[in-house]
Amino acid sequence: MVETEERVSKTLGEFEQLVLFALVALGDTAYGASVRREIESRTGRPVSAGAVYTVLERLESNDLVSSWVGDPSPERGGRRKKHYRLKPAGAALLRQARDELLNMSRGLDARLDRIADQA
Amino acid sequence: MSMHDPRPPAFSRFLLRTIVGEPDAEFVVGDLEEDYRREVALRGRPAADWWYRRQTWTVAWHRLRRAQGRWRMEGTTRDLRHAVRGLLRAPGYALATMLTLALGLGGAVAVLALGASVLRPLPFPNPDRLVAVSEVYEGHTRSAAPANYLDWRRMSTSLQGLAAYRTNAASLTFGGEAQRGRTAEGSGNLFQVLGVAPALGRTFDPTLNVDFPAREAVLSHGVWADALGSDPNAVGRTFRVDDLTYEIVGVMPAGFAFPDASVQVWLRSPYEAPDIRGFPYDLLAARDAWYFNVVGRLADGVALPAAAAEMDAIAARIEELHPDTNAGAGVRLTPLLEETVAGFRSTLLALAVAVLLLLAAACVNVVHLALARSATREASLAVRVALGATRGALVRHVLAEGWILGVGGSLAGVALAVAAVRGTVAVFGTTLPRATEVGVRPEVVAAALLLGVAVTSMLTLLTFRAPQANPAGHLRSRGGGSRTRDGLVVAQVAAAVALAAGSVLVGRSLLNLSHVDPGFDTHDLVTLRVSLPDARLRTYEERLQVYRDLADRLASVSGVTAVGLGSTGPLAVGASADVFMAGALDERDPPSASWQPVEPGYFSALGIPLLEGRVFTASDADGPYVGVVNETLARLRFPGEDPLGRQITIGLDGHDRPITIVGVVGDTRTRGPALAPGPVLFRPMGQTGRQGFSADAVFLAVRAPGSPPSLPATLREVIHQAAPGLPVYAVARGNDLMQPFLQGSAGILLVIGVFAATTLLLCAVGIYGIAAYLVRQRRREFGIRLAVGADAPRVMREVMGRGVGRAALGVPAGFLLTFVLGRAMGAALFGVGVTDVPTYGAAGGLVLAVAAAALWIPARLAARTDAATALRGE
Repeated sequence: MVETEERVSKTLGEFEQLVLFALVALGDTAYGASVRREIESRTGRPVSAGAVYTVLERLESNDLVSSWVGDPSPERGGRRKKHYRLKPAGAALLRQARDELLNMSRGLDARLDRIADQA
Repeated sequence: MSMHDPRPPAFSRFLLRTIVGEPDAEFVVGDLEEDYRREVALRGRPAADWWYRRQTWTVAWHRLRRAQGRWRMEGTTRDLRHAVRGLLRAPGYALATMLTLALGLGGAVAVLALGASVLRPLPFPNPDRLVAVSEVYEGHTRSAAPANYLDWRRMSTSLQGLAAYRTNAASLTFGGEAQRGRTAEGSGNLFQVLGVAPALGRTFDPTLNVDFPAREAVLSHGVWADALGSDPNAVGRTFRVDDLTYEIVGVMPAGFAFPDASVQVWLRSPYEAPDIRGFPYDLLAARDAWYFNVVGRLADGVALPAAAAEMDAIAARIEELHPDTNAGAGVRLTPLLEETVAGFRSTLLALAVAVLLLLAAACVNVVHLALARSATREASLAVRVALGATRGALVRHVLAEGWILGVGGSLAGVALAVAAVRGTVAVFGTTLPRATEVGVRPEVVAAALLLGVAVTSMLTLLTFRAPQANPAGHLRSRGGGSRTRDGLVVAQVAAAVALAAGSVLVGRSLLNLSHVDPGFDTHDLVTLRVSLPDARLRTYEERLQVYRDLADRLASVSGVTAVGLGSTGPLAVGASADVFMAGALDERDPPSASWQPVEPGYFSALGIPLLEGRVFTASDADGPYVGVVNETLARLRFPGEDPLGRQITIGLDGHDRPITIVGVVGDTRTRGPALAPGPVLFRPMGQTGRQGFSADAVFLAVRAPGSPPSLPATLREVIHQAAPGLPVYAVARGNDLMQPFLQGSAGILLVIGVFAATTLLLCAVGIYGIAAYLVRQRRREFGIRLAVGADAPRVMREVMGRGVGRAALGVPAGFLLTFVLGRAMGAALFGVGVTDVPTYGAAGGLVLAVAAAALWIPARLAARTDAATALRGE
């Protein structure tokens, strides 16, 4: 039986980028729930907890983020948080993705808007 | 965390924790809990619950997707295929596991189905808004009085509708012969409050008042089909209820039942409260005649406590205005569903506890089996590990087996449950509320499947131990887990002891109940009731003559030695009346007695003993007022005195003509065998014509020593010939009269008895399995010991002693569980305490005896071990 190992990606998926940006925004206060809320409030679209955990785990196993366990808090029924922090490798990859997107979109705003508004 | 913090849906949270698994479960559950509280604050509880469930599913979904990505779908089907093949190679294991599961789950599903059916919302729109409204006096609820009810209706704003109803037995005549049936007479707004539309025609017009031209009736679907052949033009037709003609205005849909399925016809009361025949004064002004029930619907946006508070205030106001009748009288609101199933709730609780014990015992056996299986499978798994299979692959293989067994066991369990539920409905009979609605519903089947798969998956995973990577190592690594096994035996024995003791407790209660002296001679006795459908058309004396003629006819049947005639049977309570001392009508709190008009032969026909004085004679009819009291009334009214010759008077007839007591008779169990006899005042039927007893139905007792089994049919025939068209009903042999009172306990006994027997069997199999396994493990040791001269009986004693000793550890825990089960069964117990020592001893002894029997074969095997074979086997 062959176990297919998970792909170690050299490029980031769209949702992975959103999660990594949330980690940048939140700094030391990033954990599952705050990441989910950050993406929801910035993008305005509903985000499922399942997707966030899956991506965070994958990013961690790919060595792009690190994690540590925080203190228990009462509003969580005395449970502890698992905090995440962006690693330099993750930050580099995210910067690369952002640059690619910016490079691709530069100078195209007006044309893009025109086509989109035709509908 | 304070008690008032909102908690997310428990099942979802459990699911989440199970799916994610430690250590991540803590963080994920914590995260979602934190967000859940935000959602509650932002959007309220229901939306937040929904949100939480959705998030749980997304987590589950992503985990599954990831797992699938790793395993791939073809892997899963291959696993299932492998598992099926593996199970086919071990059919004994597969069958035993599935059968065990089927037994446990069958019981669980049956009880679940029963509970789900009985406690399902009532079949009315917004049923949770319906409340039963009753008066409360000195902590006890009672029916409502008309004037109080009308005040509630007028003053209450938190109830948007309040309807009154009262059920009656009546003769129904649809063209042909009269039949005996049940009616509910309700206020005009009854159907409006219930909110149910008719299948045909209309329901009552609530605006109509007193002198409406036609009396209105709504038929049940059942009586419409049976008596009118589902006539589509039934609306507008008339029929008679006793002597009154009603017009059919509507037919209810099938399945509509209120207040229970026995009611065939709903009649609109001519007043805003149900009528009461022969009531001596202004009905609607009465506050001291409590004879009907009230159902209300909470107004939109009003919660039950708020409505209850308003009703309390209203009751206090009424009390202030009418202190003479309403002093200390309050109002109680109960959710209608609770009111409907009140009596059965405790039974259900007992069954739930019992089924948990059974399920636990079954799970223990599944674990035993899985442990044994994992031991035999270890070698093959070890080989697979050596060939490069990962731990994950092995887990999947084991899980696939668990799923197959779980699905198989659950399906068999559901089949068992369907049969069990049918049986349960039959044995509980009329004591089971909503009996017609009980069945195994699809959602229960789904729950069973889920439960079965969850149980087997969990148990197979729990018992799974990855073998060492070195195939040779696994042989040496064994030996652990004996503490687990002992723990399992203890749990199983405890469950068996509790169920056995529970059955004994209920069984003894039933025996005690059936041995209660009913106070009359039940042998060679047939009782029945007859009614005159056109009772109003004759005078009281004429009606009495009809009954007397009937009694004479019955007395002339060959073999009949005596016939008694009265208003009520010996195991029932008639109309009640306050019994004052003569000339003291202003006495406060006089004893209240069941008031029963009887003919002179009543006592001798029933075999009720005369203790003092005399019973009635034919000449009493024209003489001064006389009465006979039962022992209880004599004791209550004349404590320590001789009641003979004393004069009393009853409030019921509205005047204070004195009644002289001429005799005292023995008590009969008027309120059933479980309760103390109530006080009874007997009066001669010839004297009671103008006292509220209308004689539209009477009770007849026929004594016929050595009568053939066909006697009831013969009596029916005689009555039919003498008075064609007269409804004869409630025909029963004397020996069966106590049956209805025993049915509830008999039902519990049967169910718990079956559970106990099953658990004992599971327990025996489990103990046997473990002992056999241990004996196999120690074969070498036994063989050598026997070879060097140890005597066989000693080895046998050792094996049995160890086994019984372990089992005995479970007995005290079983006693504790018995106490829990006994408390849950409380209502079904009679004449035996929850902590009855002999019962506990018997149950403990029984289980240990079963354990010893189960140990017998392995112990003999141990004692006969042949050293040579044992050593070669290694």
